[in-house]
Amino acid sequence: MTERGERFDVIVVGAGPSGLSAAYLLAKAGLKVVVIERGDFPGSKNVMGGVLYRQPTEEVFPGFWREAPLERHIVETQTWVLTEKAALKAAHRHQAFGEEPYNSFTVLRARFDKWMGQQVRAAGALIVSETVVENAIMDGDRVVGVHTGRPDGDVYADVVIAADGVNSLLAQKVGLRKKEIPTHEAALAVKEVIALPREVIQDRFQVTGDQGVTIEMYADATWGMVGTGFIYTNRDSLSIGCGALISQLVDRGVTPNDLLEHMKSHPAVAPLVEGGETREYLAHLIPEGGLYGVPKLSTHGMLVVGDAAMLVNSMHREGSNLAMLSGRFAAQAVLRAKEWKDFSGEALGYYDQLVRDSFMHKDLYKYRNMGRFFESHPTFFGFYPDLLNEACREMLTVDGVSKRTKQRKIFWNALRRRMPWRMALDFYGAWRSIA
Amino acid sequence: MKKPAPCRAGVPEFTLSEVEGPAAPPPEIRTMKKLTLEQKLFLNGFRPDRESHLRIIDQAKCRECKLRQCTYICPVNSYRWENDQITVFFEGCLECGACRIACQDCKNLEWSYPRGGFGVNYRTG
Repeated sequence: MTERGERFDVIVVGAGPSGLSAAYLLAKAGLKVVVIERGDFPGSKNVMGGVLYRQPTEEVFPGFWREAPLERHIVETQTWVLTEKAALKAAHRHQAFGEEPYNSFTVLRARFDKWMGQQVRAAGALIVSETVVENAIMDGDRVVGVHTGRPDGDVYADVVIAADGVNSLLAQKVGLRKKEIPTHEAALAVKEVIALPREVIQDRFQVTGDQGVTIEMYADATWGMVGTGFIYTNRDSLSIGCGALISQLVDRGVTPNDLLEHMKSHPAVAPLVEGGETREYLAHLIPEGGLYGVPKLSTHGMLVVGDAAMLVNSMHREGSNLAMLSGRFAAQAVLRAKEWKDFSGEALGYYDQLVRDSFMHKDLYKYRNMGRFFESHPTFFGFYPDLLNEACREMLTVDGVSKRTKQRKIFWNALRRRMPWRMALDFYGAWRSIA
Repeated sequence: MKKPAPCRAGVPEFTLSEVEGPAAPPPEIRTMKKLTLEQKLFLNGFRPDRESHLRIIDQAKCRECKLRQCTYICPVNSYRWENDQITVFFEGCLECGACRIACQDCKNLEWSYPRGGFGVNYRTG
């Protein structure tokens, strides 16, 4: 096969956290790397809720938190269970989270990925932006390059790393992803970035300096659909959004923007965003297939990383860290393949093995049945939140009724609405699915 | 353990403003305006191409479609049922791919990314 195009050691498709991590490590190791990005700059098409974990990022960019454009470090994590008019809140704050080197940060992807892109460039990789990869160039069953949308835009390499995100058209075209993502294995999330003065954010969320808070919201935040709502504090803005499974949005006939407006108008949420000014409206798909959604990760001459490989732990809102870790593993596998001068599927299978042996696979295995369970048990997003909030309201209302009577009322009310053995089954099932 | 603060008995009463001076005026806050979807999209940066990157393959199929989920699943309402057919307003597309997943049973949507350099340009992400 004749090659009419430029040749590299590695082509990385997509400048997101996974692709840039792989490109950075490979370029540092002295390989000739090109990153092909369809946006104007790395980050201009990238969306996430907003939490970046320090440890996995530091494995790629040591000491990044001293120079990278970060928003706030998270000292408090809140979980809210909402009903239409009420909210039950739990929060954890630890002083250690406020001390260097910190645990996690909020970031705005467009700014942070731009910075990562600069590091990758400094390491010696070439970043070609405003360029869409349209297809892979195959030699038999072997990926030997990519065909871009530019004239004379064929690029060749020993390995192609598909880091083109959740929609990964490349993985589909090469055949690593056999089927389309089913509607119940993808969540659609929408987000607004709302500007507020720095001091107002610090007052409302009870933090000082660059400390930040995350809030995850369940139940009425998504109108009882399987999904979450979130509020993350940035330096002088809030990232507020919600997402639910596409299957449920379709069944209920819900428009994502209406869902977000509904959540923003909740009596517990509205005071936090009051006076804010929306700066941007964003949308993103989240792969929720868990372990069973993960496709084959490597073939002859190609690896799939990050969202393209559906590596997301939705229970713990971990996605970007798994993306960076998979990018790091991909770089390791490519370096070994380079050493062996063997880029066959078997040699690159080392990447599959690294993923399988890591905590990432263990976590995905742990929660493998969670998605299916909660999808088939809507009571956890409607009935139980309602019951809890009603119980709290009953006990906290002083109205001349004795506490014992109130307890009985709560107890019998619960039993009247759902059989005890069903509740027992619900909680046993929930425990099984996440234990 | 730190020692507890000394008892304030005998200390003359004072107000906070005497100690710290007058409180700084609170930062100006306007009430949050509720924006329509169109107003929100004006905030985003777009560079729309001349031709749509989203294409309905067969309008006849859409006429028979019962759900027409694309008309409400899209976060920016790109697909609208007008004059007995689906009209695609691709200019405001956020390139999320929800329509592609939602319409997979009919396979009646040809979904691709906008050409390089076109489409949405996030400033925050």
